[in-house]
Amino acid sequence: MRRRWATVIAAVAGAAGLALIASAQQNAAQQNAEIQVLPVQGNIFLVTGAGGNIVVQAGPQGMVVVDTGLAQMSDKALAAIAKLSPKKIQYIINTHVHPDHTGGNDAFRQAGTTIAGANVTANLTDVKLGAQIFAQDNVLMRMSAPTGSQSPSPFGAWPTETFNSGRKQFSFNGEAIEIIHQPHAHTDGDSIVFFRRSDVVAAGDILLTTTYPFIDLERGGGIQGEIDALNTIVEMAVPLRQEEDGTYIIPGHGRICDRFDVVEYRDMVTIVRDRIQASIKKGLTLDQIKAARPTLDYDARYGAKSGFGTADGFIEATYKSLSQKK
Amino acid sequence: MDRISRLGRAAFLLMSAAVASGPAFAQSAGAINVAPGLDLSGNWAPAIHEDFPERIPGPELVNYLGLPITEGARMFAESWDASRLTLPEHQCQVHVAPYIYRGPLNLHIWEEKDPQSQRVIAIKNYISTYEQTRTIWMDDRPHPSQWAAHTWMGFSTGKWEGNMLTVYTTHIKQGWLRRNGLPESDQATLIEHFIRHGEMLTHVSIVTDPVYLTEPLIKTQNFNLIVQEGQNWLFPCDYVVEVANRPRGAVPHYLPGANPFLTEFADQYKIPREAALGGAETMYPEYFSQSNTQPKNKAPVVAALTAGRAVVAGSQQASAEIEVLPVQGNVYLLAGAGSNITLQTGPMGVIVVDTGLARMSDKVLAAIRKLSGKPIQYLVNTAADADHTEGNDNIRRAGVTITGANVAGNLTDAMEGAQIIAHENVLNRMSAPTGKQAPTPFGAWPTETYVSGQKELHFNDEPIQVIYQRKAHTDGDSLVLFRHSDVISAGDIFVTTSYPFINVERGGSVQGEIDALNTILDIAIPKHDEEGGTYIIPGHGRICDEFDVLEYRDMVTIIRDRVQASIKKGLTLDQIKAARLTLDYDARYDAKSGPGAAGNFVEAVYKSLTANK
Amino acid sequence: MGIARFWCLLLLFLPILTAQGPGSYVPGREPGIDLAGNWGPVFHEDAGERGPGPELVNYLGFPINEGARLAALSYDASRFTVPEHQCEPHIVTYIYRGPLNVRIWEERDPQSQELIAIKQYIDNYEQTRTIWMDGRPHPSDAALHTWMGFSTGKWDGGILTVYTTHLKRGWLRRNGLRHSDQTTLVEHFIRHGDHMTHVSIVTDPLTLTEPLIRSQDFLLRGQNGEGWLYPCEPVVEIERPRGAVPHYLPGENPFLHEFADKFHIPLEAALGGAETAYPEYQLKIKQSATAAAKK
Repeated sequence: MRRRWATVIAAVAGAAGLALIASAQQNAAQQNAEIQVLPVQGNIFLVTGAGGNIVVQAGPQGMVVVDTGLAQMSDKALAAIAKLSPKKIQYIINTHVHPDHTGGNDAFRQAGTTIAGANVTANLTDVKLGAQIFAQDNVLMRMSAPTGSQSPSPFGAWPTETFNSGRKQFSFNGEAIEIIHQPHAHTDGDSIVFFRRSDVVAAGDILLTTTYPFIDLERGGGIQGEIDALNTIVEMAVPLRQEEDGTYIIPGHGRICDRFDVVEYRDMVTIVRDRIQASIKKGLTLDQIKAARPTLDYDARYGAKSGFGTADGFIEATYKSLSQKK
Repeated sequence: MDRISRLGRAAFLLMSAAVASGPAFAQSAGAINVAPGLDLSGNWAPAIHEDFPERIPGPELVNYLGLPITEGARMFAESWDASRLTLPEHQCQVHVAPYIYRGPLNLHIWEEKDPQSQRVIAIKNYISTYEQTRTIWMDDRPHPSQWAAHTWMGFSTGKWEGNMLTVYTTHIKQGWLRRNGLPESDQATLIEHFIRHGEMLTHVSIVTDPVYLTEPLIKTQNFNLIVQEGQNWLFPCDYVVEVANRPRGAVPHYLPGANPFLTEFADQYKIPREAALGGAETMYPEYFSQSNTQPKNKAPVVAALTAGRAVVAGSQQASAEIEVLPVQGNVYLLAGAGSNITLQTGPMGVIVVDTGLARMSDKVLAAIRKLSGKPIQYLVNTAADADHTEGNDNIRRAGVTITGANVAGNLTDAMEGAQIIAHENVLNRMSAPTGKQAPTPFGAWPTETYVSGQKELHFNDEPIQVIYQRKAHTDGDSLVLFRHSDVISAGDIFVTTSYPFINVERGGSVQGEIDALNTILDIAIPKHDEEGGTYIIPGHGRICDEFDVLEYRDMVTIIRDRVQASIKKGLTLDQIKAARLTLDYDARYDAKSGPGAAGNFVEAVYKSLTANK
Repeated sequence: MGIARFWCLLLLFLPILTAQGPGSYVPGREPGIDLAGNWGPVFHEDAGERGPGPELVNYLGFPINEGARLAALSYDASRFTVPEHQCEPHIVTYIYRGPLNVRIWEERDPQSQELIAIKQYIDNYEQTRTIWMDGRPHPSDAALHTWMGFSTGKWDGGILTVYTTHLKRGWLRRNGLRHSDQTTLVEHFIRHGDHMTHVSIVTDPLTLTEPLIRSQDFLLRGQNGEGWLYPCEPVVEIERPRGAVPHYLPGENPFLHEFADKFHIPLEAALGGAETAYPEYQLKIKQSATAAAKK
């Protein structure tokens, strides 16, 4: 009897509590519909609400922007970013090719500037028209097309400087910045961007807090590369104490993370991969594997209802990735 | 002569009279400050009358005519493959101060004056090629410590000698004598005279390099004043991979005797081949009249350094005092304790990387106390070498471990002093199984070891990574990276004072040493044109940046390549030593004795390459 | 009587719904009581689970869904040997279960003496927790989640009620049963003399079918220095291939029956679920056990 009252009272209190939490977060929720700018750490800011997460390093020299969101959100995103520094965007870095991360490339580039000089070689006309766009070579490959063919994206959105040697480094606003290729992760052109002094990693869609990863097989993604990339992030990150704070990691979609959040995501992806691998070994078909619900313990948290990041999509991509001949 | 210069001359004569009758700088307020010298301000464009082909299109390969170079410089240049400049870390290399005025460039000169007294504090130069800003201090300040970092423009102080600005520069990075591979060492010093006459400026430079020159090298170049605005051009340099698929750490060079262009210049101009190979006597007009030239086997004559600074060699160098130099962020260098000690300080306390010789511990602790009163919590050993770990027990005892009731492990040790972090092989070498006599006392042993990969901690708001370098100079080497401060403590993997101490008996190997140097290059990111940014503290020697490590890496790689080629030809170790494969670096890196001596280094390389894996 | 009592208690909680903004503070009329001091745990309740720890595959009494069950059955305790997991603190929804010492103090505005926050230092895992008492809103969805979360509190008469969001994923029970990082927590700190009762209500739609309610008690300690330290430094305990994550494949947990068999209860009881949280369930088991015995 007492138990029931306790339950009811607690339920009421709980409901009242939840109502208050909901109202306390109402402001935040309203903000979520629009662009939100959150300081992360050091010189780094997170801009959400424009598609994929945008990461900005801002300082006296100007700005470096990692990813540019959806094309249709560019005006709002640029307006929010402009407040962060008196100087312009000099560098844009694309973590990968997907349109919710590169859609704003052209607009952002034009809003920016390249400090050029009399001795600069290469295409001077382009150089005067805005910021540089860095990305791994495969991003340019996928955004452009040979002369005569129709390219998937406009010329103005293409990366202006690519690398295929594993990493690219430069120094800006008093900070060493490393762009590190993660081969065959969720695509074949993935990079993570490490801001050394601010101690922030922009992970792109290798890491999400919203759904399962989207392994884009058509664009060279693979489950092993995705897991390797997550492990690389875990190795680079150093927590402040007790597995909290220290290096912050910004996912392609979702909230600011520290190492432990990446560890949990890494564990999840690894466990699902292990399960599907074991099933493949036993000779199960894809349908049989899906029916066994190998993602049951994570679906409530990471299963998207539709589109990218659904449980079925993730299982299928992992299955295909593991079944491919190497 | 035009009106302006005439007026200037008149004014100058008047001023000289005033100067001659009184002290050069009036010290009392209210007195007219009669400063010496002229105003060099303005935009100056080079007049390339002199040495035009060398300065603009560039010198021919293997043309060392007219330069007083040593045998070592000659060998260095003959080994140099121009493809070296395609390496990403070399692409944005800047012309050093002694060379950069040779052009092309635009030179913008201005003065910085004390706002109150209007006294000149510094004369500044902006040189457009490579965007170099140079400061010539005019306020009598001393040159920095020998352990301070070297830069492209060096550290310059100047004085007026009548009409002429005389500038003295030290702390210059390694660079060119001539742009065809002839090196100028990082021990070079420079004297310059800037002589203005009207709208023309003559710049005389005198380079003294005890490593690569047998006598000072004197050059002149002229500039014309330009009044047009906007002559301060930019020179952005962004390095990229130009040659794909090179193996990691490849250094383009020609093996001794294999330079395909050896006789090209001499044959084209029909001059004796030894003439093309340079040397002091080819500078003088008398050389023309000699039909037989003397054979070029003089021993290099090392000119005395005007600064009186010697290359510090030897591994156990302890001076009387400890010198403390701030590096960057929270990190400091303590020099003089037998080997370099790195400190990180902050609100949580102090981390000490390596502890030097035991007899210097009191002075080391006194130096640490001056920087921070907070507890020493951690020591890190980059390797087991005695000159890096002898002080362990003393320094550890002065520290403290913050423990708690739930701490497992040896509580007595935990309460008595700081923790000592090192790779497991360091502990193995310092300790011994129970019952045997250990090489070092128990109190000096690392308390926390790791086996592979890295160990991380977060201290004073900074992530710190202790990263294992397999089989480098020993089998227990670690690099210590302070991520916010952007400093790497390299231990004896990298020294500026001698050849690397590769200790084959203790598991070192030249391949691991080269891998470790390449790892440092991977981690280091320069701020601008291969200068600044990530700083590297060597086990012995001065504070460095990526370029300094780059030149050292090139040197070790080239010598390894040469020894390897000799082994392939079947030469014995004695034959290899006799072949003097390190001639071009001996003047800079040969230690008198010990593992950093050329013979011992070559032997270690030979043993590494011939050991069964 | 029952209805009246219900409404009385409900009225007690009504003050939650009225905001108390800054400027309304009147010295001497502050709600609530002082919880400051060093509090040591009393392990009368659930000592077995809180001290030595729960048995493997014992989810009895927890209102978990099938996803949470699968996650727990897949959990290999060796997960803790992975360096990145070694220094994982207890999440705030669990940490009061102990062992711990809790030191509570207040932070007040120096000028107005208004209460800004109630702070706690929990020595297990050296966690410092802040309960904001100044009416500030919870942060954006995009903000970092932490072990102690983001907490705001209000006084309901003599009870401190705390609302916490922005939690990491953490324990429901220390045998692999975990709640998600979308969990919210409501707590009541009830002091009576030198005794304090802490009630926690965990709500997680992703792993729990209904809120999980637990309580634990504390006793005020007079002795100083009870705020112990808890340094934790990960090391490599087991050499493993890069990225290896210890877990059991579905259906392969070797300890599946261990608890159930040892205590002679049906397996589905051990596997938990909301039903097993209520006393009626004991009757149900008895009936089915009797039925099974008859066969």
